[in-house]
Amino acid sequence: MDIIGFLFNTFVYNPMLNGMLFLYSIIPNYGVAIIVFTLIIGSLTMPFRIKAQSSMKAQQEKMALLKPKLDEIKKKYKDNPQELQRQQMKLYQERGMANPFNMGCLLTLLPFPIFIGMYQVINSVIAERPEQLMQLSQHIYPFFPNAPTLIPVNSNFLGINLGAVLNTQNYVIIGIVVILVVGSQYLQTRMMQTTTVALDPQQAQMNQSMALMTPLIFGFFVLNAPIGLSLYWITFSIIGILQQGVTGGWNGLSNLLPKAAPQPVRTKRVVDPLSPTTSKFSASNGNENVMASTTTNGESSSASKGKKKSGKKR
Amino acid sequence: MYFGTTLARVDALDAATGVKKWEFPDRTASNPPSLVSVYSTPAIANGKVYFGAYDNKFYALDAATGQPKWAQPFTVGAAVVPTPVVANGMVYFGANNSQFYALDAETGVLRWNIATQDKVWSDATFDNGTIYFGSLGRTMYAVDANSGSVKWTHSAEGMIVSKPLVANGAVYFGALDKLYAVEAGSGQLKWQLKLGDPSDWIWSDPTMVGTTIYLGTLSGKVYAIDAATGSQKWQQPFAASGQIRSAIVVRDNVGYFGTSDQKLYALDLGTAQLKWNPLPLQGPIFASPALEGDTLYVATHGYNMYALNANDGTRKWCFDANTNQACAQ
Repeated sequence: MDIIGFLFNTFVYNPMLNGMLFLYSIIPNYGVAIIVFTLIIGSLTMPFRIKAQSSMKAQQEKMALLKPKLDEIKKKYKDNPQELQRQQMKLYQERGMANPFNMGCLLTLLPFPIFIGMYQVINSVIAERPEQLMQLSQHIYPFFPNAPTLIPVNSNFLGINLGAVLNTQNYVIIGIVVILVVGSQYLQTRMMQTTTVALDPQQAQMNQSMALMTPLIFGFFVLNAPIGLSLYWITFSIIGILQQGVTGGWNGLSNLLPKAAPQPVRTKRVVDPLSPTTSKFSASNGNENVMASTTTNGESSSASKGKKKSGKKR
Repeated sequence: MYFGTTLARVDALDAATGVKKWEFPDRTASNPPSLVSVYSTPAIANGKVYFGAYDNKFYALDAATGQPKWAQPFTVGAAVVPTPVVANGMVYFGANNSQFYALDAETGVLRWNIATQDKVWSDATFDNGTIYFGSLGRTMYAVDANSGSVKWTHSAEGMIVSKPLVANGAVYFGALDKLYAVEAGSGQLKWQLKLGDPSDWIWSDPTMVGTTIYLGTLSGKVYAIDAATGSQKWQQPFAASGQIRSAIVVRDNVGYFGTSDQKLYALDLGTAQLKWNPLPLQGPIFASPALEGDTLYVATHGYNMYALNANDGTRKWCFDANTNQACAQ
């Protein structure tokens, strides 16, 4: 077995598989077991996700403050890419940002191996094809002797076979599940974006596209996956929404409501505390995330703490 | 010789040369069916080839030409995993919709069907007017082959995947990590044996030689068990290097079986010693080998079909179902 497969099985798949079966031995309803299991996974990974978000936010704020300098460098060395890169790295090092893809970025990737592990667990304990069940025997802990009596699990939940691939179901089930997956993922993405900052209009637009594309990609993916995976993903997204709401506020949800009228254009000053000579004015229409400011429902907050006063109308 | 694959087709080869005779579905035909996958080993009877597929249908083909013999394949409505058994003018099989079917072998018309506890992956055994089979719902069934009425059921502690063995008035079957022996007439328990290792799941069809039952497990062990008492005959089970899904096929007291790590074993059943070194083949071996004379036919999940000399493992021919040609090596 290759080393990545071994590590994945040892640290992700095997614990998840045995944990899920253990839970199923207590709660003999696979749908409820998936929900409870997801709640546990969500709770265990929550500190990492909160840390990832705050770390990314801090990183983006730093980047925003560096932007004038970066623009200056870009302009200065536009004909010398090597020197441009060197100067950019130098600037990052000076500001303690030698690695822009810091731990925060890595932590945001945490849900993905768990998602893959969950996909495999759901696939392997529900008997759709023989080879799925055959490989199970090698992954059950020896100190879990009654596991064979639990397999295959009863995959019926609210009249739906959680082991069935979604696109084999009738249109009503497909519609409901896809709407729930896409909707919950969309809300979570939108809420996550209100707690981070966009550097410029281009990035703000990219964020908007991501908020739409990510849920659609997931919606497409779950069409060809067992329905149990959709249940996991919906639960996981709801946990994410709740967590975002508690830690970052509910503005992401209220932003989805229709707005009364566009806010007048305002200007804000962004100040790099390490560069007192550098100050810059930027324009905002009150809805877009521009420069280092996040704007929600007409309220704005500067990227740099204590700089709110400099962001008022001039 | 006939075999199905997850390449979504059934191939017929010349048993002597390995040259392809026909394949189903015929790709040159207009609107050929898509079988999705064929896990079921075809059953041959009365000049017909019977099998079920993952397109939720059950087929009967002309063994000589590969042409469909029934006006329409029988629509099961769920995937069919097990090998059908043909007896008593009927063809019997279970399916993933927790149903067990008996069709008229000539016409494909449904004679009876019964609901089962969960899916049926185990092949059925016909013996003296009774059909025996197990289900993933941990239940062994004895059903009247004519009427479909259930004679008895026996609940086990694990799912039943392998084919029950009926001999000496008893039914022997594996239920994950336990082997059971029950009375064939009543379903009363005679004995049960828990295998040594929790990962010793029985997927292999038990084989009986004399009074000894041989079976392999998914932890790669081969057990020899006394059919009368359920006690182990060898001091230690033989340990192979991969999962054993295939039955132990016996000839001249040598047991042949394949493993998931792509090896074919020949084991002296008297001494539990290897007759020849494990033979590396291309692809995991899940299907049971078939013996005819001194030729051993082995299908692999890498889509190769081998004809080997059972005495020494030398190759007679090899067919690659991916390329539809003789194997490159």
